[in-house]
Formats: sequence, C-alpha cells, structure tokens
Amino acid sequence: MNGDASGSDIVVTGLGVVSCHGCDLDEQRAAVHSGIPRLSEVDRAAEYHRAHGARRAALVDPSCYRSILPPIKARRMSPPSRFAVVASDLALADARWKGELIGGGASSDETAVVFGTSFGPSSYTERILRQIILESPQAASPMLFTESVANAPAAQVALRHGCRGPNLTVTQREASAALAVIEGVGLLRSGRARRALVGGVEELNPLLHSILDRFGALVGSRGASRRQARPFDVEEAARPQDARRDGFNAAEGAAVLLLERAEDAARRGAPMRARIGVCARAFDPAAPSTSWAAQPHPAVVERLRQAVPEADRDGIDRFVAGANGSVPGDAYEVSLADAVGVSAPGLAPKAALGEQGMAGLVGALFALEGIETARAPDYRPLSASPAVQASTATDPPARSALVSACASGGAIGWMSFDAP
Amino acid sequence: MKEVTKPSCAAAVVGLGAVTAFGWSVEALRTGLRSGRRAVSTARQLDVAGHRTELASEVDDAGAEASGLSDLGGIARADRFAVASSREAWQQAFGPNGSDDAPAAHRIGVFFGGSTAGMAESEIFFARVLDPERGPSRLRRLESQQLNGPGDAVARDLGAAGPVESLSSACASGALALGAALDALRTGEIDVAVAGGSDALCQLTYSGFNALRAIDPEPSRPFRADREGLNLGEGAGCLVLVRPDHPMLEERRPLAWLSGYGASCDAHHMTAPHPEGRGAEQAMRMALEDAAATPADVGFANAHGTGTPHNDSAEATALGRVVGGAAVPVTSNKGAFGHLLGSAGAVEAVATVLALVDGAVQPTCADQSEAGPDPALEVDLVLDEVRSLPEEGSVGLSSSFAFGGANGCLALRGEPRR
Repeated sequence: MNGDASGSDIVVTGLGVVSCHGCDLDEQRAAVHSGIPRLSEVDRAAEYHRAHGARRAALVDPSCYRSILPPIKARRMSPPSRFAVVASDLALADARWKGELIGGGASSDETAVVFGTSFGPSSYTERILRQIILESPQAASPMLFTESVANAPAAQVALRHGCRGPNLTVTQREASAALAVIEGVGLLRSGRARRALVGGVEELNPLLHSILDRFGALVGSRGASRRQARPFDVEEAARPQDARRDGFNAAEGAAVLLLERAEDAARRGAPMRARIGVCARAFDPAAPSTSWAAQPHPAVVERLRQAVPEADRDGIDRFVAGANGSVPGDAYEVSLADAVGVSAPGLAPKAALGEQGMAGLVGALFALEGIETARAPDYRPLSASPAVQASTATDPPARSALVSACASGGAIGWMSFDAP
Repeated sequence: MKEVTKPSCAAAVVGLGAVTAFGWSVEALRTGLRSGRRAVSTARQLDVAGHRTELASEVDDAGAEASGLSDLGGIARADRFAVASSREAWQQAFGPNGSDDAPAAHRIGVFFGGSTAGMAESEIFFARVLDPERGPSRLRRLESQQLNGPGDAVARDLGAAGPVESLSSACASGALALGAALDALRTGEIDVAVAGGSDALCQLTYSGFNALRAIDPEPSRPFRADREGLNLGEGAGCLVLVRPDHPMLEERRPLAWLSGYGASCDAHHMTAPHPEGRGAEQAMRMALEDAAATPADVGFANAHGTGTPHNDSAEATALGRVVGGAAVPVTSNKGAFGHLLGSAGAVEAVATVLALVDGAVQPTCADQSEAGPDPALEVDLVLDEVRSLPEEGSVGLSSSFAFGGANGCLALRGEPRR
C-alpha cells in the first residue's frame, strides 16, 4: 500500500486518444472544436444489416497507429487491445513519463490500470462464435478466446508497460469510462496505487452495428431520417441535444489518462492537464434495462445533490454532456442536470467522436484549454436548460468542467475536471 | 474466549446469498460443501459432444420456482442467479419485509462481477442470425447481453440509487467487486453494499477453455498429484456489507468481517500465471496489510485452486511465501462446484464466511480413491472431511486469479463463536 492519499490532489498529466480522427491530439482538438464527425461506411459483406438501416459509423483507421504499434506486435491483440495500448503509449508520452514502468522496479507495483468498456472485444467474440456455430464447438480458437474477454485491453496495457498494481475493467455501458476514471481516482486516494492509466475503450464491428441499428438506436435506423438534412452536410451525422435528434453514431476508439498525485507530478516536473474535482456515482432504479427512465428518480437526484454540493455546483462552468443524439438518453441527461441544479453551458463532444464513453473525458480536458464545441448552424436545443445552450468563443476557458455519463439501464457517473 | 476487537476499516458481513449447482440457497451450498460431494455431472444445457470433457457444474433451473422467483419473468439466467442470491442476502440482513435499519435508496451500492452475463442467450440469437431456419432472432434475447446485466438487475430489484458498478476482470471479477464495495463503504460513499458475482454457462466459455486445454476430462482435483485442469460451473454469490458503525450492529453480531483486500496484476502473460506466483503473493500480502493482519493470523486459505498444473503450482508457491509452507490448511471449492469464472470470487467468499461461522474449513473433495496432494507442493490440503479451525476470529484468505494476470485476494475475519 502507498499510504493514505485521501488528502492529496489527483491530477491528470497525460492524455492519449485513438478515434475516427486518428491519434494526434491536435486532430482531436480540431474535431471536437468543429463538432464534425468523420464517418465511414460499415462493412456489410456479412449480411447482418437490414436493407434500409444505418450505414455509417465513426471507425478507427488502423493506419493511424501503425508507427506506434507495428503489425507484428498488433497481430496478437484484438482491436480494442490495440486501441488501448496505443492510447496508453500516447498518454505516457504526453505526460513526459520517463520512469521505469517496465521491469521489476517498485514503481510498477504502484501503477494501476482501470478501463471501462461497454461491449469488450466484439469482433473476436463474433469470430469465435462463428467458429462454434458454423463449424463446431471444437473449432474455437484459443487465441481468439483469450483476447475476447472484456479485460483483455487492460491486461495488454499492463503487459506492455509492466503495470503490476490493481487491474480492473468496468462494464457499465455508456458510463463505463467515467466510472473507470472514478474507480482509478479511488485507488489513488486510498493508497492502493500511486498512479493509474485509466480510460475507456470500445470496438465496433459490423455485427454490433447491425444490432444497434435493429434496436433503432442509430442515426439512419429509421430510413426516413437519412433523408433529412444532416449537420455540416455529413451523411448520418448525429444531433446531440438537438430537438430534432434521431439517434447516435456508433463509434470505436480509446482514450487513456495518466492519473498521479499532484505532489508526484510536481516532483518530476510533469505537465498537469487538470485536477480531479468531484466524483459522483449513482443509479436510476426506474430505468428499463436497455433505456433511460422518463424522468430522473428522486433518489438519484438526492444522491447527486449530496455528492455534488451546491458550492461545487456553482463552480461548474461547463457541462460536458454524454449526449449522443439518443432521443430518450439526451432528454434524461438534461432533466437530471436541471433537477440537480447544474447550470452551465454545455458541450457535446460525441457530436465529433460518436458514442463512446471516453468522449466526455476528452471533451472536458479540451474545455479546460478553452476549446469550444461548435454546434450545427441549424442547432435547435431540446429545451431551455443551460446544459444544452452552447458555450461561445467569448466565454473564458472553463475552470471546472463536469463530465456527465448516463448509461442506458441506469448507471450514472459524474466527475469534474478542474483547471490545474 | 479470545477477545476480538471490532476491526477498524472493516465491513460487517450481515447477509449471504448463493445459487450453485448444489441449489438455490446458502444452506444448500453449506450442506454440499461440508459433505465433500461434487456438484459436477454431465452437462445438459450445452452441446459438449466431441469436447475433451462433458462435465459441468450446472444450476438446476427448476429451483428458481421454489425460490419464489416467478416474478422475474424471462430474464437471462445470469441475471436470475444474481437477483436470487441478492434477495437471499438482503432478507438475511434486513428481514423479509425490510427493517428500520434498511438504508435509504441512495445510500445503497451494488458491486457485481461477471464474465459472461447473457452470453448464452446471445448465442441463440446469433445462431439464428447466421441460420434463420433455426428460428426468429429476437432482440429481447440481447437485453442482458452486456456484462452489466446481473448487477443492474440486482440494483433495480432493490431500488438502489447509489453507485452501481459491474466489473469484468475474468476469474477475478467477483473478488474485485467485493473489494470495490469495501472501499466504497470505507470512504462513506454508501452505508450498505450488495456485492457479489454471477455467471452462467455458455458455449463460448466451454469451447474456449477446452481449446486452451485447461479442462480436466474427469472431475477436477485441485492441488492433487494427478490434476489435469478445471471443470466449468455457473452460479452466483452475494454478500450484504455494512459499515462498522451501522446501527444494526448494536443489536446483532455480523457473520464475519471483510477486513481487507488486495489487487494486483502479474503483467506476465495473457493466460499463464507468473510461474513463481509473484502477482498472487502481492495480492495476498496487500490483503493482509489492508486487514491489519499478519500471516500468523491466517487460519486457512480458500484457494483459487483451479486444478490446472500451472495455477496450483504458482499459487502454492505464493501461499508458501506468505504464510509459510504448509502452515495453514488450504481448500479449493472448485473441487466441489467447479470454476464459476466471474462469480467464483464471490461464491468462494460466501464459502469462506461459512467456514468462519462454522469454525470449520470445508473439504476440497471427499473421494478417497483419488491421488493425494501433490508432494511437490507444500500445501496442507483439506480433504475428505471438514477441518476445525483452531483459532476464533482468525482470517480466511480467499484468492482469485484471472486471465490477463488480474489478481484479487480477500481477507475475511471471523467473529468469536458462542
């Protein structure tokens, strides 16, 4: 154990992102600022898809990380493991970490890995099921099996960097990444770790895309919606927080943060991107298993009002929404923000990054740099709530950005990133 | 009677629940484990023809009706196991109709581990996607496909509004979920935690473990000289934990204390444990330190004990370094009900509490015809019949080690027996 660090500030010193916009942080900033997604056609060769459903998603181009993770290393990893490993490399480089994480040094025992994921390695799961169903149960590949588990990305990152501290994988759908970061903060504050690589990772394969489409969750799931004008003229682009929203853009990628104690970061002269502020976890027991409650349950509101006291709420000047264009999800989130009493202009980073839990983390860190998220020229907020009113370029950089993650099924994670 | 002071920073265990192949209750689990019977037989639910083994430890679904679960409808089996175990644990803690000590909804947290969730139901869906002649591929089968299914089902059933977290770190999931619950109680984030794990058998894991050659074609024999691998199983375990200052403890004694936990990662290999048990040792030592306990306080170890050659060797090495050779009795519940994967750590924690309550460690197995403990391992293996625990208030160490090297170890301390 590393001693009780409950009184220590926890800071973010590194950020690494892999998304449809590549691996470069400047590209991510430009994309989040523009609010424009980069969508690609999903492979329909397996004939999973309906004829007139959604066709596009925010997919990662593997060539963007080939120089970081060459094919000879990548071949033993599932796609989400590759995303996570690359993002962790980038986060450590961003944090200017020069210490020995690999090998038998004491620091490796003190380094935790906590990731969140909704679906885990979906393509490897699909491939092994195809072997079992179409060939025989004995045809299952052992290599596919070991990389099909949800904690494979966290394990591969630990292997890559020699992280021998706690290794956890949180699986709470859209709230997975935020809850993973909150769990990582807890590990540092309790002294179970001295630093942690935390974040979110998702993989989107054609089967998963077709299933989301069948659930009617995606932009384009209802054929008629595809004929509507889309933001920035990007075919099937989602409209988070817009009154005319009609679904989300499925996405894949990873974002990894390096968390450290502030005194440790200061000692090694590390850049500090943010301080961790409030962390709050809750659950709405009224939520159906695959959707959101019509209105926030009073117990949830009570919980979040206690976890984020009025003084902290007053200090929040950006609400980084988990909104992705989901009709019930976006409505629920803004109702919850209003009920708890968060009154800050909103960002919707999933407009550019698509639905993946890590988007809020990225958006919050960029907000502290003064990056605003553009709305579509014809944006029409779904309500009068401050949370769906866009911040503008004339607003000062955020001092405290609250990340909101409200998952279908009821899990909620809120956390604030404060200016360092 | 040895005075046991109420440990600081420990959580009181006030309710237990379990669903295993022994039955749909903790009492069924206790009776089965103490008898030394194996709840392993030819698998009925899965297509096992052609595999190296046909054995599994399966839950009899008929028991659900008898357990009063008809109100749950057609939810996934892993969800059903989870809710059944949590209801049993909750009722033991707060009574069938709730009590004045029951917390407000926003002060209840749910922490559940699992690795399969609704995969079995999803396999049916996908098979029909690939071959529509098998029948319609109904989306309803996917409602609990994701790994948060069982934990969310428990939270909805209880009306919990506090933190709800599902952890999926393969075979360490249940133990890590209990550890996360302990930390949430310690910080004061919640007053009551419902923590456990649930997993159901499915083709993917059955085929996958067979592909890895990790399966024993015969009933598994942890720590034995002739061990060849594991048997797969399914089920759920749940513990209700409260803070040590909870008002209910003024009126009643807890079953035991969750005093500490340790978590580590081997960072060695995706499937094979560190050969010297380095990560396992680290987790065990962290659990003891967290519990303010020493190796001398350890009364017994509820081992991960899968029955695979590598795991049992590495774990024996680690145990030897932590508690000293064959200094403490060791049992492996996996010899009785198989490897429950993501729920193993939780069900085995329930078994560890039962051992502390009963003052006796359950045997690994009672089959006298098999080879004895592996002489190459310095392990005092509890075989054949229960072994009394000499010390009251001693610590039971319950370990779980996973794919990818994730390790979780729980330190549970007994209450003095009356």
